[in-house]
Amino acid sequence: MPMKQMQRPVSTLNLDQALRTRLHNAGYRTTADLKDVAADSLAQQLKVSIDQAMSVLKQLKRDPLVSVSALTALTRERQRSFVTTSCKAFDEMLGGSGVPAGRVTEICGAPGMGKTQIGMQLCVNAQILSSQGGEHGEAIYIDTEGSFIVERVVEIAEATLEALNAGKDSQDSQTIEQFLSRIHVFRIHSYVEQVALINQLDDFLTEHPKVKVLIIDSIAFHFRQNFADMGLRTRLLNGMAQHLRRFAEEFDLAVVMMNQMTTRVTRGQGSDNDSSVLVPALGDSWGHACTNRIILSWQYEVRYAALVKSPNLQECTIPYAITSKGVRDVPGHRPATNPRKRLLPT
Amino acid sequence: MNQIASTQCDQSLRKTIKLLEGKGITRPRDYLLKHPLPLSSKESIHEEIKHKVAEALACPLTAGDVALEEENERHVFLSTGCPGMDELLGGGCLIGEMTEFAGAPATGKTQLAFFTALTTAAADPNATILYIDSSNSFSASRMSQLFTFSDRFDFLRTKGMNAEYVLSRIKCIQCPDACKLLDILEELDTKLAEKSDPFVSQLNLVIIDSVGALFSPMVGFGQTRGYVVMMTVGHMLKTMAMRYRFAAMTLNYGVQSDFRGGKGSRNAVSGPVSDIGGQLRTKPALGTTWSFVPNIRLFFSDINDSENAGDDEVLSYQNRQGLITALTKRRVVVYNSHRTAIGSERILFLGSYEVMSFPDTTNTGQWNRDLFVKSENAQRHS
Repeated sequence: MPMKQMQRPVSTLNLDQALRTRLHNAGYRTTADLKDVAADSLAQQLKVSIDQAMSVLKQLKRDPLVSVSALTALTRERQRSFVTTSCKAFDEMLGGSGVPAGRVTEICGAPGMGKTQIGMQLCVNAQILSSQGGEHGEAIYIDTEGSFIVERVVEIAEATLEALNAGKDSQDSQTIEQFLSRIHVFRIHSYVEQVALINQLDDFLTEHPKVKVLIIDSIAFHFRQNFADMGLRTRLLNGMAQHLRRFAEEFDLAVVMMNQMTTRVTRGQGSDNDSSVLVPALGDSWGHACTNRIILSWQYEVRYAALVKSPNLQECTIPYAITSKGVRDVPGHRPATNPRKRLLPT
Repeated sequence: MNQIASTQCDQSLRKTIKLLEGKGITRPRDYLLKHPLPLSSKESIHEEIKHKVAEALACPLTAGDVALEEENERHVFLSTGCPGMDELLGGGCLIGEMTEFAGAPATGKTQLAFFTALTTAAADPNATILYIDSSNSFSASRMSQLFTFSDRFDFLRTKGMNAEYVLSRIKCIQCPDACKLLDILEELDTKLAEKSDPFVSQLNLVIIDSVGALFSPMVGFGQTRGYVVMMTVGHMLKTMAMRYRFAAMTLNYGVQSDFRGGKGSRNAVSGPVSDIGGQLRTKPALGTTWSFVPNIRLFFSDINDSENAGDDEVLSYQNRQGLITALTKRRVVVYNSHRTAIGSERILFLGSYEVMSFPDTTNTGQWNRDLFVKSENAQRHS
């Protein structure tokens, strides 16, 4: 028996309701029915403009599949760029050189852990000249909480420049103004603005191909209040995550989203067995949105970052410090004492 | 579907067909849907048309004994690279079926999927694997590491199979949204039918990582179109898996189920997982609708810290190359299945480049650890 082609219903095409109904009423059920139809006759049958008919038929013309073998992907992954955090231990946790391009990294932490500081540091570090081991790129900072302080960025940039030029004649050095001009800040006041911005970011990224890092500080803020319909919230958030993953892949940039922490009360057997833990906000399913997830926490007087989710890196915990100069290593910390980090002889 | 007019018939029949077409009936399906017809009595339907329609829509019947024989022949399993997981799956990922790994983030779903892909590529030197990645989690360097360092592939490595050869047969497609997934599946179907592409013709395994990422933005209350897309994907994938003999694997999110039954909550789907863990109950995402699609589902979850109180030693494993890796524990439960016992479970041990499992969940003492290493060794040697 000859193999029949798979039947794909026309209702799965990306069309508005009215056009779908017209297609259905005109007797088109599967995409196979539309195969040999010309645009003008379709327009006539559906009583729509020829442009609309074209838009239907355009969806049937697929781009050829772009698949890469894992071997090719391996070479590409080795060439992938990174944005350093200025903290060696932090960079090492993320695979050696910092926040990876092509991936979505989520950093979760309570207030005061330095999420914004890390974000600003990354914005500055994305611009380090290639001759100094950087990417010489630009940065996008989506500020939802109003915590982006330019004075602080200037401080961090100055310190970074100083560290880079230490002991060298600073011929190809950059000015602070150059640094600031290459950080694109979007101030967001509501979740509607946030979703709208993410949906429109394609054009901006096409116009600014040098953007190497995209920071969202924080993803959660506007989604944690005034939300009656939790189903809608989940859909919006997951849709946004879909876009962010696509940006990371298509434009080869590092997406870093900050997330808040929330208290979760768990109920034990008895009534006095209740306990509470700090967990990242936005619920369990949001944990899937990112590729790598880092949770920041205090242990005594030291800040620690723990990598808790990654498809390609080892889970581990490292100390880091926030200083007046930005994100730095904890003085005296010896890396690779963690038993879980004994791995990967490369 | 074919037009009725395209079937071979004589002149007198043509007339009737014209008549039918005048009534908007051009395909056998329309004939069925609109019957009894609004045709007047004197334009009685030609018997032969009925016959043609029946022919066009015929479905071959198979006797039970023949079906059993065919099925036994067709029972080909792909190993996940972890004997314990294969046992849970009743032998592994069955070719022609759809296997789903669901669970919370960082519970080893992707790692096990990587292992399945590698094991499949290693077990059959011609097999090819397609990895449809919607969550940016495909990592070729990780796969190469797993193949180079895992004890699972020790024997094969000494036999001369290298990572390049394995990786060259695994392909990855980036798939940002569900519409793109439909395009991919349609194209795959075309290529499989044409037998034109050598890579596609040797396809043994298709992995989608993850369906949760693709569908969760579009399903939910009142989102009819999202459900249509989701179920079309499910239908296409399963039909193709059966027709072209490959195993389909999907990864899915785990979400918290609303078990407290507060205002506006729906009753949680009762599954084995709801009773485990005691505190937080999670279930696979995408709801009841999707739950009918995969043939078998495993659910991955963290092991509650309270159960391990007093057991804060780090388990570690030294592989044959002398590398020591720490192991983290996850619980894996059979959530839906028609082949194996629902609710049976294993503890999964995840290491830097190993996946191992242990059937005993009650005692995590040294004795068990020794036994575990022994049993794993025995399984590996057998």
